[in-house]
Amino acid sequence: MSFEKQRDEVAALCKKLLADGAVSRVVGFREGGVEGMSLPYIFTDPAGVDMLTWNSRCLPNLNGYLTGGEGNTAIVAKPCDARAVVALISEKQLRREDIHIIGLVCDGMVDANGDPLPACVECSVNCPPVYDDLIDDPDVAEKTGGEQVSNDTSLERFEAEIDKCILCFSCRQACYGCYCQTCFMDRGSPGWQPTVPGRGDKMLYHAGRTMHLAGRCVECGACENACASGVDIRYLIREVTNFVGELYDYRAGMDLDARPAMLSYAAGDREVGFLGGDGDGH
Amino acid sequence: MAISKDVMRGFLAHLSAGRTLIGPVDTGKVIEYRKASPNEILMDDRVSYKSIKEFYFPQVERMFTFSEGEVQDHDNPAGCAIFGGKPCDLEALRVMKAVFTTGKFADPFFERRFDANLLIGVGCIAKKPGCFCDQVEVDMAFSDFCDIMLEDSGEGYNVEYLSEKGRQALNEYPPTKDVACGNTRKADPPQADALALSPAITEAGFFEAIDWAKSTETCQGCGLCSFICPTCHCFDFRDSSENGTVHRYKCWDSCIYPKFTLHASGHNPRESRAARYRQRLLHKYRYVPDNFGLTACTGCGRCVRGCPVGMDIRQVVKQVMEVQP
Amino acid sequence: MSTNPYLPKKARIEKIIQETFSPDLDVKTFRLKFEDGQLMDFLPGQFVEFSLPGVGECPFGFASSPLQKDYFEITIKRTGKVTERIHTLDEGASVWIRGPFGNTFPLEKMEGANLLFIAGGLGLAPLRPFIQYVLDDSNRTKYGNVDMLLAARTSGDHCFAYDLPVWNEIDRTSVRQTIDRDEPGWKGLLGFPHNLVRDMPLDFSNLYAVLCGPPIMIKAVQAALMEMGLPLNRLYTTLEMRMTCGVGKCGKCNIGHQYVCVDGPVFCMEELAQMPGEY
Repeated sequence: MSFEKQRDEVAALCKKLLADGAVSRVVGFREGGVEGMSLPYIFTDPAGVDMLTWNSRCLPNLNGYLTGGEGNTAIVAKPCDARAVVALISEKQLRREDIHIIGLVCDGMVDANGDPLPACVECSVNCPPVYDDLIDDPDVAEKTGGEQVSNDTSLERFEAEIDKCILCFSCRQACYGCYCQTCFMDRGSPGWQPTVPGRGDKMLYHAGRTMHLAGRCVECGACENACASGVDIRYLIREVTNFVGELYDYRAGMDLDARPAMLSYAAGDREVGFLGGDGDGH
Repeated sequence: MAISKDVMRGFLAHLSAGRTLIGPVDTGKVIEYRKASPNEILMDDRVSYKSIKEFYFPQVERMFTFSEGEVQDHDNPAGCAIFGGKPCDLEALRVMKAVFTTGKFADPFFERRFDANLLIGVGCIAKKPGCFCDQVEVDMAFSDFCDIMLEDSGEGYNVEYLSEKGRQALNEYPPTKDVACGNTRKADPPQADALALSPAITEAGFFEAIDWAKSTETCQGCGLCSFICPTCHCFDFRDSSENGTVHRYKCWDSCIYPKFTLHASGHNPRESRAARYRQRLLHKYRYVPDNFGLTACTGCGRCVRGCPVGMDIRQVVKQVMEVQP
Repeated sequence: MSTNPYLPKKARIEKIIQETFSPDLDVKTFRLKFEDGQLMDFLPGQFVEFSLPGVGECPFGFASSPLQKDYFEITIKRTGKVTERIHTLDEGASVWIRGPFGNTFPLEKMEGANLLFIAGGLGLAPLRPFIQYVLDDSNRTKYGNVDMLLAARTSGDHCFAYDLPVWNEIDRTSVRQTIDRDEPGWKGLLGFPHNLVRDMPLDFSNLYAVLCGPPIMIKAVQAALMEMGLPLNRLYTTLEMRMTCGVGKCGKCNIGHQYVCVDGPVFCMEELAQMPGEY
């Protein structure tokens, strides 16, 4: 099987969903971007689905387009898109019954030069954990774990990365999890926003956003793909994600019934994240 | 005069003795203009993700300081020698100069840097994906809005000066002493598929021209396009306090951000993301042309290449152009 | 090298006047003087940028007579971060001012005509320099009848209440005040200006109307006046926008290709009708 075959299956399904009125919108991709990039597109008409595409350049996470419009929405979901849908449902931002997940087995996306994207190399989930329809690809072997990346968590590394940042907030806008109506960085009172984008303000932004994503990152890499300046800030979020995973045995977007780590509390929770120490203290 | 790229590096080394040298550098992940040594500077045909605008209009610029009840203006910035501005960047600087220095008031910060900097333009050999300078009347290979212009043959450069500042700089370095003036050179004529909005349609008419909400529905509103755009020039003032002294800064802002036009009362003249995108497009293709006779888009393609979701301003301009008066 | 239009000058608060006395609207007038003694030379309709270092800078229209050279006044409603802090200042405090910026009302073009001023709430503040200019002994004979219809939600919300009886005594000048709902002891009119203007004895043959107030009031009054026969080119208003630089550079305040800070804030309604409705 191949992208073309998956594409035809997805297109036929989307046409049917729109024609039957099961959904009023399909969030997917069409061709037409520079350097072969596929573009997010919202299909509302069965005939328009002819434009739908599915290839190795369907980079953006589509979760920013799920709300709006009337009626149900279908999403052409890579495993990471599906995980974001699940996470949004867990966080009560979406209702399961309003979203139709067309899940695709995915072997990862590539950049303009055809090289696999870093997030996709590290990805260990190539089948959407939750879906209404699954478009399988038997040629894609089930992943058991992504490539392990050594994590340099030094301050020097952090500073080297944020020095590239121009504080345009495209990573925030690309992230499924950054749905706050007013970001802490945009608040006028108290004045959270940086007075001037110096290093301290960039630290505040990236550290703040990382902490807001604790136990919520679905590892889609949209933040990194969106960044024009080449900032790798995902490593910081990965560190927090692994930390939350170890502490609370939770991974965002994998299970509709699991309560998000940061939305649950038990008296026996390990408090190493707050109190430090060896992690066994209460 | 034709010179080799090695001679050009020699010239840059000569310049770097007296000025901060800026040029395109490959940082591993991206190409960007930064302070560089003559040997680090790229002399191939690749383009940076940001333009040279930050050396005329920095992302953050301290304007003055309030201290002990007095205000203190700052000294003039030292000039840079900027190598490798592309014709689209140079034409964008022309737009920025018009905005910042014409009218009843001039922006002294832009003016000081413009006067202090030495700008060396380098023509492109080939169009890159997303580039469309030919559709907005910009010649890929040449612009006269600089001090020295280099046309790139691949092997070397054809060098011409376009200002007295440029002539003097070349004159001080023996191998480039006899460079000629390039102001007789004409830019290539515009292409047939030019992107321009009809003056026959009123500004208000463009507001209803297309379904802006549909055409911009995938825009995420991040404002990256404004930051990497060579002509976007909107700014905000920000104060920063430090041990009782207050510095006032001029910082890049973007019309794509909802707070850009937000009144203290809560009223916002541009509530929707579609209205904000429309402002950005019409500002470039209609308002600046109306005010200064220049299109404020020079086809550099950075927004097209850089947009995380592939929004393509050319497509939206084309839709708008289809509307008849 | 040009002078720096972003650089403010220090001014001293000479006097603070509490204008309103209702729980919902807190308006004060600040009487200012440059500390170095320089006089503020401005025209009706123009504005200043008012700074508190470390807090921010905001644009405000002049509220005093341009003929009053000893000082200038700025009338400010407590609304956001900066105005909140300005309202905490005492007489004698230092603030930072730059200006004047913006255009003016067409003072000469309106000579010989009757003038109608309609203001809602704080909308009277930017009209006050114009009104005081026209009513000054040196100019009064240049203009015909001057009629004012001034609206506020409650009696305590009327700004410049101390001026109104004085103005009303001036030859060929009338001041009408209205509030939304009746209050004990209220002797003025009741209701909204777009209804009340219909009862005013106005000569439309040679009249200019100048409006300022909430957008909804401007729309309603404009419609009423047009219905009564006043052409759009005899109607003026003044707009407010977020304006960072005040000098046409920062890109915040444009409506189409026009910048409210340099092409405005005063606009003829005929001109405004041609512009996109983005304000």
